[in-house]
Amino acid sequence: MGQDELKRDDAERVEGKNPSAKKRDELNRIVGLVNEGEGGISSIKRVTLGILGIINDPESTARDLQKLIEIDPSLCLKVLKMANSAYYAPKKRVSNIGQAIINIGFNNVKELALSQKVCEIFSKKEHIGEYSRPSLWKHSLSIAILGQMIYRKEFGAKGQEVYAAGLLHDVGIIVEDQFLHDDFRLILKRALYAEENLSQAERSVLGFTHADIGRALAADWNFPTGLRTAMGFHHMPSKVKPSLTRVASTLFIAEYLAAENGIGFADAPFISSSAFQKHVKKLGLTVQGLDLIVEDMKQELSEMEKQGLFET
Amino acid sequence: MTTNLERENESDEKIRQFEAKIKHLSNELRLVKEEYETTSDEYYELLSQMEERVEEKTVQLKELHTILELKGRELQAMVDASPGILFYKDATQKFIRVNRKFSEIFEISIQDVIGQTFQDLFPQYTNHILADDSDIFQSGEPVLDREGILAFPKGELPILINKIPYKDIDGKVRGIIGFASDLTERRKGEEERAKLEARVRQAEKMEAMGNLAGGVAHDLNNILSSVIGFPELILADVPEDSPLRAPLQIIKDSGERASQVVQDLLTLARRGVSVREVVNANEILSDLLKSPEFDQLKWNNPEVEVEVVLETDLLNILGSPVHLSKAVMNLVLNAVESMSEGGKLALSTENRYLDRPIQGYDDVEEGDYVAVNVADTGTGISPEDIERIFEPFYTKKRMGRSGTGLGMTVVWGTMKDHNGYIDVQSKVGEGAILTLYFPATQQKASRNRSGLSIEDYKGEGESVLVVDDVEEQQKLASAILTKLGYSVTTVSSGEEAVEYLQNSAVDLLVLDMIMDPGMDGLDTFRCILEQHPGQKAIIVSGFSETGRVEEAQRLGAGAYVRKPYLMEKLGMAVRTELDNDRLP
Repeated sequence: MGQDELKRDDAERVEGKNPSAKKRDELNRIVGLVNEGEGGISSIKRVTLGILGIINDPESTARDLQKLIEIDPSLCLKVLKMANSAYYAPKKRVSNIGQAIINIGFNNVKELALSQKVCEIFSKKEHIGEYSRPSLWKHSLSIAILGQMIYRKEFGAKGQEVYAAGLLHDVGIIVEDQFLHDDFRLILKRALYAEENLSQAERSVLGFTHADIGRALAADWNFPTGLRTAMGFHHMPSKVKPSLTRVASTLFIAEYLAAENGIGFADAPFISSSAFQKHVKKLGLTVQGLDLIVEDMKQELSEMEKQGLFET
Repeated sequence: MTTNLERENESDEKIRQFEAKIKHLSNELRLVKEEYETTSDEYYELLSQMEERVEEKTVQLKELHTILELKGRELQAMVDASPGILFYKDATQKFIRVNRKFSEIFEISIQDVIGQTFQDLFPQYTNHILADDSDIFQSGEPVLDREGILAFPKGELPILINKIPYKDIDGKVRGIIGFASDLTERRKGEEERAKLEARVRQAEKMEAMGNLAGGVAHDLNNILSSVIGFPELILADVPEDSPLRAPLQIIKDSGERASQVVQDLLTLARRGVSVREVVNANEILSDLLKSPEFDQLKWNNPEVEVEVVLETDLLNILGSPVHLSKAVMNLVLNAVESMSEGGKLALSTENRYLDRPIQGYDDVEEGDYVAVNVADTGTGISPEDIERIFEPFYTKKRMGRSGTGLGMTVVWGTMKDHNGYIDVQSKVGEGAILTLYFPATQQKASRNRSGLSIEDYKGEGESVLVVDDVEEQQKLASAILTKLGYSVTTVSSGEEAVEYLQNSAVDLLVLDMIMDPGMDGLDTFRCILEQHPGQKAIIVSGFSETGRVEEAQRLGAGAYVRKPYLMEKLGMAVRTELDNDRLP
């Protein structure tokens, strides 16, 4: 991690710096595979992009969100099912997206729709060691919730972008699972037996990490820059340019907290406590505040689990 | 100290926790407030959009309501159009729809019925046929064609009722639909139909009897020709003081009376009327009153007063005077006989315009009629008898006194032949009025009934060929015509006639119409005309005038003479035809 620190004020350059040609070609090939794979990961592109657009555009309206959800019947159905569940406990039965927005809130519906859409690609149940897609989904969701809670409670900001970043930050792992399956099994074994960090194992086997894949895909899919960076550098928050430090560091902190509390599959189980402390301090957070947030997050997760909200 | 330090640390920790909590809460609060403010516009927009939808739905609902209401009114009009009583009950047996007939019969408005059970409305009726249908709700089976009595405020009606359960999709009975039809009308209709059928049977019976009578009459006519004809011939030769004269006259008269009976029968067969003269009913009546038979009748019934009122300017009618006179006479006889204790016989004629049907007769066309009324103050005719008085041999009279039992049947047949109608009105004990309606004609009467002398129809040696398949008839015709001074040849078939005329010619043919076997009169006439165009001929037959007679006359044949042969009739026909110089 020491190396990361050396390059921390160099985020601009990192963001602009090209990976080596071979690495770049391989990433492009993988992104091509993802885009061609029918009914797979690429199926979430349109809706995800649409919701991200709404989150990012202050001019967008509830009606934009309504239209976006309504043209995806299976998503529409899922959102309504969730909106009517005891978790949101609407006073009246919600029978359309407009009512859902009024009853459970514009922001809630955005997040609900996004998480319901993204979780579609986490549905395969195959266990390799600690890893399974549902456990990765639980991890992603906890990062998203933690990130958002930190934003809301500590920074007084909506944190919808960090929520989206949390949901999507490990999409590279899904890509590996789907398109580089044998390599991926090897990576998982290495990570398990060599007690390596997942990223280190990925570098040894592939020469790049799931974060690299995520960033390449996000770039190809035209995700907002902040999200792209957060996805690409969630293990190396020091490498991003200062304007994006907060979101990258928040994800990093959330990763640490989720791993420490053993929630879901951990892609970065061996983060040093000192790095964590450094980022906490940098963002002006306190241990007490984070403890409260973790408690809230656990409660929310268990509430969601009870309502079946994580089923993929 | 350690404890103090620990305690201090502990309280520091607590304070930091509280600070974090306060910070979290205040941040959340601010965010929620912001979100509320920034999105309230969105909510408003969504809400107004929903309001639009609600409005849209409301319009749709209103339209639906209008359609349903229209359907409801259509249904009501349909059930109102039913002549029977119609009702719908729901599962609690409350009426949900009834028709106008229901409301009329029970004297209650439709609005008052809806939503009530029958017991609610009419607690006074126990075990009413419309009251309780729980059996149908239980069984789910319809009740069909059940006869019963429907009690209602003004009385009772025999009805036929159907009650049909209507069910929901699971087969549970939701209500029943009931339909009750008034059996009174239907029973009346059935009675009427039975009456009509009886009348048709009656007409058929009359026809059958007529056919039988016609057949008999044809043969009898031929036989009677001899019985009447030969005495006439013998009488002409027998000296005035011969003791044979009286018996011969009796034979002739009896034969003529028998011939009259045959004519009655023929009238019944409705084939005997060949005379279509323009006649006046006043004359018929006047002649009848002057006749010896009428004198005899008055002599026998001195206590019967006779009143005659004849309409001046009475219209003429077309018909056979003999038959008309006979028909009226038959009515008079019956009338007088019904007044054995005395009374008044009123005969009258009048011009009548008919515009209504006459009892017992169909197909009355409106128009001008001549009515002949025969009214009496006698015993009258019971309604059952009125039905049957025209049947042959249906009589209340002592057989023998007034003959045949065919009197009224002859009247009936005569009226049919004259396209007329009979009206019978009677009350038992008060007498009867029988009215004969004849279609009036505008033709003028031209009748010369003056007696002819033998000189008027004597022959002058003209040659006559008599063609008749019956030997006695040949002989009789030959004898009459020879007596009258004609040169007569006889043959017994059409074929023989044709053969005879191969080599000879005659001035006149006397051609029997019906010959069997072989050619009939018409075929014979046609054959002869080929060789002798313009051949004069007269037609004779014991049967009625038929199409074949008319056809022969169209080909040039002269008069049609009905058998039996009488000297005057046959002589006049032969003379007239020979004197007729018309071209063929």
